[in-house]
Amino acid sequence: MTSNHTDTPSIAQPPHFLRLQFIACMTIAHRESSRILRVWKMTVVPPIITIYLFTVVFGQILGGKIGQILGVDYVQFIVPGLIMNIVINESFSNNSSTIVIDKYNKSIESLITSPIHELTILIGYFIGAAVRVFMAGALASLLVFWQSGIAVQHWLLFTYTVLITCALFSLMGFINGLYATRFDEIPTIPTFILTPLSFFGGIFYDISRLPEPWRSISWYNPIVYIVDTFRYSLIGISLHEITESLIVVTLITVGLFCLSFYLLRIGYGIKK
Amino acid sequence: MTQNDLSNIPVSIRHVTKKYADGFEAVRNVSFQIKRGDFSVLMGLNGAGKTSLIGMLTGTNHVSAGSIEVFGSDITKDPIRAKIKLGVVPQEVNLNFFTPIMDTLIYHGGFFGIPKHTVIQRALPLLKKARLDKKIHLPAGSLSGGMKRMLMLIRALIQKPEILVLDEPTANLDIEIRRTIWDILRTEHQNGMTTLLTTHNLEEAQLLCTNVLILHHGKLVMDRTLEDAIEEMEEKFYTIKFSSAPQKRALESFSAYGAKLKGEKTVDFCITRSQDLGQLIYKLHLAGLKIDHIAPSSHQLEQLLTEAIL
Repeated sequence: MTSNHTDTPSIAQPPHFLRLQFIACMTIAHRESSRILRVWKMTVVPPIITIYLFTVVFGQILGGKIGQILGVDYVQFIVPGLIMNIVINESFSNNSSTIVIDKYNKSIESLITSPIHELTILIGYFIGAAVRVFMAGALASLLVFWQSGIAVQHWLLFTYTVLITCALFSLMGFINGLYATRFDEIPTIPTFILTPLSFFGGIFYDISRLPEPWRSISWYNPIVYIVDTFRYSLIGISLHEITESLIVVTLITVGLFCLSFYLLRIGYGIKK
Repeated sequence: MTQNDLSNIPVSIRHVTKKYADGFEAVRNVSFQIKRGDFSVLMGLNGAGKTSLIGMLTGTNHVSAGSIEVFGSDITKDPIRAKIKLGVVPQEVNLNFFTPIMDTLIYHGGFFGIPKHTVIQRALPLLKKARLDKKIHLPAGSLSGGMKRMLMLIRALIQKPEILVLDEPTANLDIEIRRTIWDILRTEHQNGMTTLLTTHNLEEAQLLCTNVLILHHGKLVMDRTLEDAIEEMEEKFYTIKFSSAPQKRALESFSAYGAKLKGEKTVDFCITRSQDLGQLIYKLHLAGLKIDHIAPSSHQLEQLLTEAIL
């Protein structure tokens, strides 16, 4: 090894606060996106295959026997919920797994010892989750829209619903990542909470036809509102007032954002 | 001391205590300051509280009581302003093993608001010095243990921090990598970087540091300049290298100086308060032993550490 270590002066002036936070946010987002692309067979392909199989089996093979729901073919009725299912699972699992992996190999220390604001961290991880949702969701949507003859009817609502759902579940995944201390704790929430909520979230059936008390109980399930709003943006039918659904989903997201922000500030799960 | 005064002091630690959830008190009411340009070494036995203290300073540990300020910014109340000036090399390897080497540096630089091109510009000379410049596209996990530590040092240096905090950076490393790290640290210190190092390697501590801090059972038992600390020692140790191997019989007459053969031509001597180095040199000259080189022995710090904790 050479012994003459010549370099520019050792100390540099730090950048302006906003510039620093912007670069840091883009760095987190870029790091996440690179990781997602690096393992694309694990992050992008499985949801596309799953949604295609669901559409073929439930929509085309069984759908003919079920007939129409709320005046549309069964396959068109289930597609919005299936796409939302991708958005929910991908945004959740992206953040929960990346935080647990970073905690496991201690690379999260690099983030903790850096001058990054909590808001910057949350936005960075949200962008990372959104990239994963976009890559898996956009390809899956193109495939099933073409297959089932669906075209987006309300683009603004469509975009907002995807983004707010992505934000909600990426925040939930983030909190799960902070809480989890072992790898086997990553799938706890998806298995015991998200999957049941999705299946009872009106993806496959019309909630208004459920007997009581199940119909009333269903309206406490946030996924019902998400699926309903998204279905309206795609095929123009809904079971509930869209504005109310948007308010419910947005309020839950704001609540989770505040909780994530607080947990990050106190260093929950990442500081000793 | 006013806040204005503190803003000129790189590290000010006041009455800091670290108590873990299980009730164990790792650090107890510790106070000290590190002044601009200091190269301080934090020593102590295993479990003395060094890593807990470093963790609080760098923000990976909560501060249970007291305050830690970096250039006047409290690490708990104003962490962004405090952390921006800190470069950290932790004790345990904390690299993402799947991320390529250059990306590891780019991401870390990005966390400090440093654009990619600046990171590359700053990193390349350091990577070249560490012989990592041909491996920048390899994942960090493919590097040897020593090279991973070297990468962590480079990662901290690309920030060009005002204060560099290193927690046992050379533990279990071979002499070549160790010397390269020492060389880098010395140069950065000469360029004005304030450094806090924890180590069990007394040779490293003596070679690099200007100040000594000793922790024992979580309490600070010494905070002195190395020069003052050695000056006040009961016994001082020197390693003398002779131009030819000394005769065993010739050395026997220096038993009062604790002469102990270290290598073929090198001998360790111990000088008490009542003795004098000049006198020893004169006596060695009279005995026909030609001196090539005299240096304070690493026993010096060992003795210092022993005196402080016993």
